[in-house]
Order: sequence, then C-alpha cells, then structure tokens
Amino acid sequence: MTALLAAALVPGLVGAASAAFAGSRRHAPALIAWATGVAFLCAVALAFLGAAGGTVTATAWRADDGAALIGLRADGIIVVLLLLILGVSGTVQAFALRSLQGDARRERFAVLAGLLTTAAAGTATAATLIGLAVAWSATSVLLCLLVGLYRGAATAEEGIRRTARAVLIGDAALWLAVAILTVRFGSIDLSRLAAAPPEADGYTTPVALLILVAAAARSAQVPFQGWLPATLASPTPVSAMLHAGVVNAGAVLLLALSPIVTAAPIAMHAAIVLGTVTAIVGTTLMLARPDMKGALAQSTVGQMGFMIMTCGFGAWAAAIIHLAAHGAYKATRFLGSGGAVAAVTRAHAAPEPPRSAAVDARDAAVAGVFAAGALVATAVAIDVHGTAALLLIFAWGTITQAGRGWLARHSGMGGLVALLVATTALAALYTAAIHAVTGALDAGIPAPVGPLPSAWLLIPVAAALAIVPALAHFGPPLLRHRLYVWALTVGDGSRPPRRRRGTPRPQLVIDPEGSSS
Amino acid sequence: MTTFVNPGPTAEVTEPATDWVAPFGTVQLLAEIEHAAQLVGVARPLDRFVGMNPLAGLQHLSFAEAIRVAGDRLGARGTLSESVYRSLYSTGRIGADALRQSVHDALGDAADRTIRVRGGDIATLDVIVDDLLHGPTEAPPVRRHRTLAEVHAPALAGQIDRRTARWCAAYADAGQSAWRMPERERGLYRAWRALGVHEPGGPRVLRDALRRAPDDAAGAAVDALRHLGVPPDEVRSTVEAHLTAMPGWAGHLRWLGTREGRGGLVDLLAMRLVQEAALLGDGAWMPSRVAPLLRERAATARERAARLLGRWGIPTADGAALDAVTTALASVDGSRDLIWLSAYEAGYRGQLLHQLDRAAAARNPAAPVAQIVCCIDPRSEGLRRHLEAIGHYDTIGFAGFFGVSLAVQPLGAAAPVTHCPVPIAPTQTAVERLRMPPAAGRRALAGRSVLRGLSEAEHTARDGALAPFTLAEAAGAVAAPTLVGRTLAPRAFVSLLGRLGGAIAPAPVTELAPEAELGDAERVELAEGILRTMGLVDGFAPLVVLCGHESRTENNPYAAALDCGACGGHSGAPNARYAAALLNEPAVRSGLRSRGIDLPPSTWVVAALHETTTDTVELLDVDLSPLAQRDALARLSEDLELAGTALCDERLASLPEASRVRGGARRRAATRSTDWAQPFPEWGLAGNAALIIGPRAMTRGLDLERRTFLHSYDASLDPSGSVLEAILTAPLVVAHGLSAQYYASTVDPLRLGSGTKAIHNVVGGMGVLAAAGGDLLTGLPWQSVADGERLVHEPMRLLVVAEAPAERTDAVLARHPQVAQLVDGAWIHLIARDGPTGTWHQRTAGGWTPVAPTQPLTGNSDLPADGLVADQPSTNPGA
Repeated sequence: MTALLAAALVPGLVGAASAAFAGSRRHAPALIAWATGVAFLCAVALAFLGAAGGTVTATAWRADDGAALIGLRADGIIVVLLLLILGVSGTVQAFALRSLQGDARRERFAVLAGLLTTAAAGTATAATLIGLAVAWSATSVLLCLLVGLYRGAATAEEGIRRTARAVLIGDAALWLAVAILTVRFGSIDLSRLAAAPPEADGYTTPVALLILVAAAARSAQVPFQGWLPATLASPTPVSAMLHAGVVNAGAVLLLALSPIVTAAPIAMHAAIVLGTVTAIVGTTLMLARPDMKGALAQSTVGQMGFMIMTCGFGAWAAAIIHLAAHGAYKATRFLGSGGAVAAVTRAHAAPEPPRSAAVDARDAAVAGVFAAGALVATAVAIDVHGTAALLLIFAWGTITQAGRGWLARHSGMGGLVALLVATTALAALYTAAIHAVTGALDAGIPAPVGPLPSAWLLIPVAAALAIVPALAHFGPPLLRHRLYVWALTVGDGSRPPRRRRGTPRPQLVIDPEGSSS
Repeated sequence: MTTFVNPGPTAEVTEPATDWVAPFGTVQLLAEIEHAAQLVGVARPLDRFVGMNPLAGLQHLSFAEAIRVAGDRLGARGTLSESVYRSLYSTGRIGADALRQSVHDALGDAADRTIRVRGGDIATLDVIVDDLLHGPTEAPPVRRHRTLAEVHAPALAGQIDRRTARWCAAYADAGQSAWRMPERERGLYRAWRALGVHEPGGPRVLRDALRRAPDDAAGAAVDALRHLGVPPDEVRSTVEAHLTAMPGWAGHLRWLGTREGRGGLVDLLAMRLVQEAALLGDGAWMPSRVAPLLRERAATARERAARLLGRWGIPTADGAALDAVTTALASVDGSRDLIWLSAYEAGYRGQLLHQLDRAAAARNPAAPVAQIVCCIDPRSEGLRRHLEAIGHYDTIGFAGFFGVSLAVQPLGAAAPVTHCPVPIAPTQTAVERLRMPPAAGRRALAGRSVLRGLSEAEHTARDGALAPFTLAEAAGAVAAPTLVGRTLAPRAFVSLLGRLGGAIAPAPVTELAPEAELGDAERVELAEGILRTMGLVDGFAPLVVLCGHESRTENNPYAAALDCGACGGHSGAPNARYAAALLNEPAVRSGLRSRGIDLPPSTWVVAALHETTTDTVELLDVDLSPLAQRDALARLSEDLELAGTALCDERLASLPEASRVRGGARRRAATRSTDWAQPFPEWGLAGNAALIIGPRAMTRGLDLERRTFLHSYDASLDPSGSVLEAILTAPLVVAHGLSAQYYASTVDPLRLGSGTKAIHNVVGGMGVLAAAGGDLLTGLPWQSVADGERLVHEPMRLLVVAEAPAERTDAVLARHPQVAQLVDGAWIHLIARDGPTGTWHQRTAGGWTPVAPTQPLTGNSDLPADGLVADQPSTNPGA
C-alpha cells in the first residue's frame, strides 16, 4: 500500500532521470507518459484496496512522538485528487506525444510535465505542512518553466511575467503562514492536525488569511485572475494540464489546512466573497471573448471562483467533486479546441430558429418549474439538507438553461414531455450521485473548528451570480455596452505602460526619416 | 502641441484641398487604400480555406520584383534562406551543374568573362558560385515602412496593435462567442467609435478623440493624418505601414468588407490612425527614442570579395584583384536568392522532363472497363497510378468541381454552401433531399432534430446565468471517458460515437435536386461543356466514374485546406453527384447526340468519393444504377479498394509516426484520420510541384510521387483552342494559387504561413491566432509543409508542362493578359511540346526557347551535409 502511494512520485523521477541522461532523451516523452500511466493504475489500486477505509501513509522519517516529518498520506479525498492529477497528466502526455511531434520542445515539455505531475501529487499527498509547502513551491517553479516553453514570443514573456508575479505573492504568503505555524507548533503532521487542531488565538485569523491568499493566487482568484489567460502562449497540452490540475491546488491547500482555516470565520467569509466575485468576473468575460482558448481560460477563472466559494461554506466534498469533474471537462475542451471551426460551421448550417423574447421567457419559466419540481422532490426523497441542498440552486440553473435550449428546438407537446422526463431523470441522477459521493468523501474530512458560514448565504451568492449575465441580456443599452467592452478588453494588456516619474514630457517632433537611420 | 481640429461630421475633405497641411481627401485616401490592399491579400475564413497566392495583389509585377516589395513592406521572405539552399546543395538536391547553369542564365555571356587574380585566370561564373557556396549569407528582409508610433513610441505601437486586434477579433467573430459585439452591423469603425469610449482604464486622450472623431471612417482617417502632420507624399507609405502592421486582420477585413459592403480596410485604417493621432498627439514620443530598424546589414560586394580572396589565400591588399572580384559579385547583387531558387527548380524540372521523355511509349488500354475522371489534385495521381496498374482502366484528370459551379444546400441546412473555384460564382443551386421511404425519412429527420436539440441545450447551459458550474460537473462525467478514449483509442472511440449517433439519427439517403428546374437546352449545354472540356467525347467505357475528393480529420481548424481546392475548400462529392445525375438523364443524352456526342445507353455515369486521409474510394448512389451495371460496379469497387490500399501504403511511409502503430496501412490511416492529437493527418498537397496538361499517355506508367496536378488535354480534339483556353484560365490559375500558398507558407512560415499548430487558438470560428491575441494568422501551418526534420514541401514555382502547339498557347495567353503575366512575370514556368515526339520549349518573355536536356542529380561534396534543412518557427508572428 505504501508502495502504491509512493508510486505517485514516479513520473517526476523518470523525468528527472531522463533529463539527466541525455542519451535517452528521444524516448523520454514516451517513458514519462508510461510512468504516469503506471502511477495512475497504482492510484486506482489504492482507491480499491486502502483508502476507502481510512488513511494510508508512507512515512520516511518520524519524530520521537511518532509524528511524520517527511512522508505521504492518502485518504479517500486525496485518492480522488491523485486519480485526477495522474489521469489527466497521463492522458495529456499521451496526447502531446503525437501533437508535439516534430517540435523541438517536445522532450522539454515531457520532462517538465513529469516533474509537474510529481509536484502536484506531492502537494495533494504531503503528510506534513513543510512537505506541502515544498511541493507547492516546486509546482510554482515548474509552472513558470512550462509557461515559458515557447519563450521568445512576445505573449509568452507577458505570460511568464504575470504568472511569476502571482506565484511569488502566493508562495510568499504560504511560506509566511508555514513559518508562523511551525514556529508556534513545531513540525505539523497534517494527519494529526485534524484530530487535534491548535487552539485558536490571535494568530489564527492572519494565518488563515495568508493561506487564503496563497490559494487565491494559485486558483486565479480576483485580483490574481490575470495570470491564467496570459499563459496561452504555451502549447495546448500545457494549457490542459494547467487548467485541469495546477489551478485546483487552491482548494487542495484550503482542505489540507481546513482545521486552521475553519477556525477563522473571517477567512471563510472572505473565501465566499472572493470566490463569488471571481465567478462573476470569469463567467462574464468568458461570454465576450472571441478566441476559443481565451474564453476557456476565463471560464476556468469562473469555475475556480465557484470552487473557492464552495470551500468558503466548508462544503469540501462538493468543492472536490467540482474540481475533479471540471478538470476532466476543461482538459477535454482545451485539447479539442481545434474543433471550433467545425463547430461554428455546423451551427451555421442549422441556425437556431428565431424566437421572440416572450416565447423565450415562457420556455425558461417552464423549464425552471420542471427543474425546481424535480430537484425538490429528489432532495426530499433522499434527504439532502443544509449546504448540499442549497447548492442544488446551481443544478437548477443548469437544468433550466438546458431545458430552455431544448425547447428552442422542440416546442411541441412531444418536446415538453421529453423535457419533463429528462429533467426528472437528470435531477434525480445528479442529486443522488452527488449525495453518494459526498457521503463517501465526508468520512475523511476533518470537522470544522469554528462555526461555518450560514448556508443561507448561498442565496445572495446565487443572486449575484445571476444578475450580471441578466444585465448583459436585458439591461439598458448603455450598461450593456459598458459591460461588453469591459468583458472584451479587460486584462488584454493594451493599457499604456506607466510613465516613470521624472521622465521628461517629450516634444512633438516629426522625423519621418528617422525610420531609415 | 498640435490641437485637434474637428472639421465636422461630414468633413468637406473631398473638395480640392487648400489646406497646406494635407492637400488630400477621402477620395485620394480610398485610392491609397486600394493601392496598399495589394500587399495584404484576402484572408478567407478557415471553413472555406483555399490555397491562394498571398502575394496575388502584386502579380502585376514580376515574381522577382514582387518578392522584393513583399520583403520591404511585409518583412516577408521571398525564397528559402541561403543557408537552407546550401544544405540542399550539400545533400545533392541542388546540383552543381544546375547552380552553374542558373548563374549563367542570370549573367548571360558575362559569366564566361575571366578575371585576372594573382594565381591566374578565373571565370566570373566560378567566382560567383564560390561566393554563393561560401560567402556571407544574405540578411533576412525587414519591414521598412513603419508607422509613426512604431518608429517613435514602440510601446504605444504595441498598445495600438493589441487594441486593434482585440476589436477586429470581436468584429470578425462568425458565431463562436456567446456575447456578440453590439453595434456590429454598423461596421467596425462606427461600432468601435460607439463602444471604445467605455474601455475600462483606456487612455483619456483616446476617449476624447473618439468622442470628437467623425462618424465616417474615411473622414476620421483623413483627420487623423492631418493631425499627425503626415505630408502628402508620405500618405502612401503611412497607409501601407498601417495596413501591413497586421496583414492578417487587414486581409480578413478586406474579405468581410467585400462581402458585407461595410467595415473594410478603411475602417481598420481609421481605427488605427485615430488611436495613433490621439496617443501620439499628447506628445508621448520624442525623436531621441527613434527605434532603430533591426536589420542585419547585408554584406557589400566588396566585403564578399575580400572574404573570397581570403579563402583563396590572396591578400586583400591586391587592389586590382579585389576590384575585379567585387565587380563580378556586384553583378548578382540582389538576385542571389533567385539564382538559388532557379537552380533548385532545375533539379526537379530535369527529373520530371527526363521521366516524361522515357514515358513516350505508354498507351492507354484499347477498351477500358471504366473511365475514371479524377480531380487534378496531386493526390489523385497516386490513385490513378495504382488503379491503372490493377486493371483495364482509363483515367482522366479534370478540375474536381467537374465543371459544375454549384451552391449546395445540405439536408436541413438553412443556407447553401458554395462548391466551386474561388473566382467563379455558382451558376447552379442544388438542394439535398431525402430519397428514402417516408417512414424511414421521418425517423432520420427526427433523430437529427433530437441531436440538434441536445446540442442547443448544452450550448445554452454553457453560456447561461448560474448554469456553467453544475454543467462542468455533469459534463465532467462525459468528458473523462472522452478524454481517455479519444487519446488512447481514437479509432474505436470515433467509430463508437458514429454508431451512437447512427442509433439516434440513422444516416439519411439523399439526392441532389436542382433548386430551379433547368430547361433541357441549358442542361444539354452544361453537359456538353463538361464532356468537351474533359476531352471525353467518344469511346465511352461502360462505366464513367466522376471521382471527387474530400478529407476527414478531427480537431483540425485547417480541415478545409485538405479538401478540394476546386470546390472552394469543400468536398467534391456533391459536384460529382450532380454531374453524374445530369449525364445519366435520357433527355440530356439525346440532346448530346444531336450535338455530336454519343453517350450510349450502355454507359452509366457514376459518382465516387476519394477520401484522401484514408484513401478509401466509395461509389455513390449505386442503388440508382441499372441492374446490368451492378456486377461491373462491384468489380470496380473491389479494384478501387485494392488501389486505395496500395496508395495508402505508399503514402503512410512518408508520414511521421510518434510510435510504431501496429496494423496495416489502412488501419493506421484510419487511426490518423480520427485522432484528435494528430498534427499530421495527411500531407495534403505538400510536395506539389508541377501541372501537366496533356493526354494520360504522356504520363501513364510513371510514378510522379503525387507531386503533379494532372489535367487531361488532347490537342487534336481542340482545333479551336477553346478547351486549352478553359484550362489555362481556370485550372492553371487554381493550381498556381495552391502551389503559391504552399510556397509562401514554407519560405516564411511565420509571416506568410501560420506557424506551429502547438499554440494555435481558434478565433471567431473563422481563423487562428498564435496564443492569446495579435494578428490573424494566414497561410498554412508549419506542420502542413515540414515534419520537424525536413521540408516536406519543396518550395518551387509551379512548373506547367503542356502538350499543346506553341502558337495555340500563345494565342490563348494573348487573349488573357493576366495569365500571360503569370508566365512572363516568372510566377510560373511554362514548358510545352507539340506532341509526343516534339522537343521541350520554355516560354519566356523573349519567346519560346529550347530547354536543355538535364542530367540526373548527383551529390555534391563541396559542403558537409548538416541534415536539418528546415528552420523551425519557434515563435508567433506577433513576436
């Protein structure tokens, strides 16, 4: 079992080894991809054999009292993360084996991807606080190296700059928090942290906020959201790994340190606000971006906002389910982004039939009523309550919008019946699945230390998330225009460089011959 | 500081200007834009990508002049770099004799003049060859006309570029983003003028300028030019500089402008100039910050001479020798790249003519089982060769739209799609209709409707309020198996998807019906035109096959580039089906008989589709054929399968494979075709080099390596020259466009091609960006012309080889000066012979000159072969 857990670190070691031995460089990409695949199978085995029951640990060095000083650990939720990290990484590497054929940077990508996989797995499985921070910073360095894979392109430089800035702030915050905690409590074994959370004191809130800053920087929360879209100058497989893996680390960090974070209600509320604002920004910007990868990047920002917001409610299982499913979804969308031309052509071939606003509103209302009925009925039937029940508001939003889309094409009685059946089935399936998975994962999640934010806060959060897209659709023209321009242009770096103080204001002189000097 | 003078919304700029600052107005400005438009080409959306010469606007110049202009204005290379030519020389691809001949052609008799240097006499020719092989390499071209902002405030120029690119992308969006640009219908400039004032954090001077700017783009541009104080004689270079700053967006706006009648180049120019005037106008630039032109200084003839003397061990102090060598080298200054290119082309030309000379004995079979008409596309050459090797088949080359300029409205679609060569407007419209029992038809349509509803539902949820979050969770459950399936078992996964789709919506059986019923006379005329241009007027085989082609690839924004160029970047199947149905009509056949073409009842015309990614050939609408033909069709189908397999085997050997995929060529090709990670699904037209116009007997039995467009032509059937005229004015122009596109994308993959696929980012469903923004990329990706180790496409000008009387060719060219200019301006090479026994002559500006027989290639040992031929593009063009 210990060996299975340690296998998570294999891809990086293979990568490092093949980087060291230049002779095998040609075969390095395939080797590292296979190593990642094997590590993934080990994680599958781990899921079936060990982690379901309790925590698996692989400790290399213990303190006298038995606390881990260097080591790994995995419980149900961590195995889910490992499956995501290794599964996505292995598949993306297999993709890159072919898509980067003939590219001079193919080997470099493979080695960095292997190392990144290990660093991300290390972040998820670290048994100690310091181990977590080391893996975290290793991820930061590798992230910058991967973003700089196509150095020389103007946009790549911009990407590296923005990424490095966000990463530095996040890492500084994390290491400061780690330093404070280590000075006060000695080396922290994360498995023991849950059992015996430290007493809350004057340091708790600042430390929790520092942890939140680190998570926000990594997960591209406002005001750090600018780095993620700036990384598009790296090849498609790198984007897939970033958006499916690296950005999730924010939630992983908050979960690992939840006994400290939940002790500070201010931090939890701050996470809700931060996440909600980020979700609004990301989902609005996504709508206006005309380029595929740009829209996908903004969509990730929005989804990460949702994830951090969920963490703020202490709904850890929901956050983990969201990040895992979103990871698979976003990796698929990135790798398949070349299909956008064909998709637009198909959409043109069969345009949406014109509908009046009234018909659209009627469709939305019908779909909304169906969805609400189905969800409430299921929630009552399987006894979902609290935050989990209120989070179903978002499922309601999705099913309603999907129903509205369906009715646009099938407005007859047959379409309505089909919608009713599909809505009921989807609502029941989704709620039951989430309920089951949440139940399975909750076992390993530490109990909150302080009081959690009220679940009812989800209602204003959902309202806030709904209002901006609604304004974009139905607002007064001037507001719509302003929103559109903001969503289209913000963060594209077209603002003038700040003039340094003391630079003389230049004179207007025309020197057309200057060009040929 | 200059102040901004607003001449009012309808600036009186068209009147003869008395203003001493800028005596020009909108009329002159539009003329300048028209002039500058030559430089930017026309960038069509990717769903209808067709190979076109990116320098088509400069075709009134000679090739040599045009590449100089392109170098100056666009900073684009016109040929491969000298170091690449040298490594081609070292591998023997460029022969030593060819290089000498090429120098000789460039210099004329001066080549033989000798120069006295200390060691003795040396011929001018040898001096130049030695310099070509060992002298300093030529500096890459640099865009010399730059905007004021580029020269004086590069940071501001970058800002202007980024802002312009972002708005162009939003404007050009063909339906990808959920939130379309408001005010778009007013045109780019007006929409920007209305919206740009809201730019968050935008410069205040720009906001103020936008509020004051006139509503009309041309007027705004003129105002801005005045404000910038651009003198009249510099307006042209300023306009050029602005439009070539981002030639991709300029090219696409040009296309959009023509199509929509608004928002063309003048809008783009106005948008850029208004920004420049506003941002520079506040004095944020100064002469001390003139950005230098980063041009490597080209070595002068004297420096070259000194280097050569050093190489020969002669002290440069020898003034007479230095002068003599300098004079010799100066005679080829500026044409070194063309000398290399000609030598490169001579290698292929020699090989092809050598092959053609040997093939004179080949014959077509006396009584073929079937006549297969294939597209002139080079990929058809392979199919024809393998098919002829199998049985009694006669093959014919013809432009793949089969003479039917068709607009096709696919089943259930709202608008027609144009299936004909780009310069031609469709003359026929066909609607795809169900041709199956009503119940089955209803079932198929209902299934399609369900699939569309599901896709609409997914789309609405993706972009709707509150909806994207749970959607990502639900979609993740579907995405995870998709991710793994598409990557690890693409063929199985795509076939599973196909079966699933088929279960919901069974594939419909359809027919193509003309939208408006044509009269008999019109149909007969159309049919006669098709057959006469094909040269197929008698001796019909029992089966005549019209074989169109298409490609099938996944996740490939450039899919259309692999489809039929003669069908506007679409499949050739509808054209083949339409033409076949027409030729099978009894009324048409009787009409044809009265016009001297006896298409007997025993002959059946059948359409076919060659799928070039997998080399499967499918016969279409077989169920319509008479029962008597079914056996013959089945045998043909088997032979096509054999030929396709052989072709597939041959083709796959040249495609890079990341790992050894098991299974036969067919299986591997099918995997490629369905693999979303595959950057090299097939080579498309890479390698194309020549167009051969003549009877198949000229080329039958030759392995032309899928590098030649083949158009059938029998001079004896065309005394009037009208068929030759049709060929030289249409298929030749199409082939030239395709060939020029491949040429340009290979010699300058970043400026004329679209760079590496690895960082491509589809924009607006119509184009591709490098990374997050910047200019729209045009041309072909690097992965279409090279495999990372070698150039798969050899960039040469199209070689046209015709078997036609010289005077007939001359007569056609005299009637079509634009085509004549292609030949006389050396955009293409035209070589012809009168008949199978004639000798080859090349048409040059000075008349027809005999082509010297060439020797087969041998290696040159002067230079070490350093293997890697291609300079890989590493960055995006915006860099």
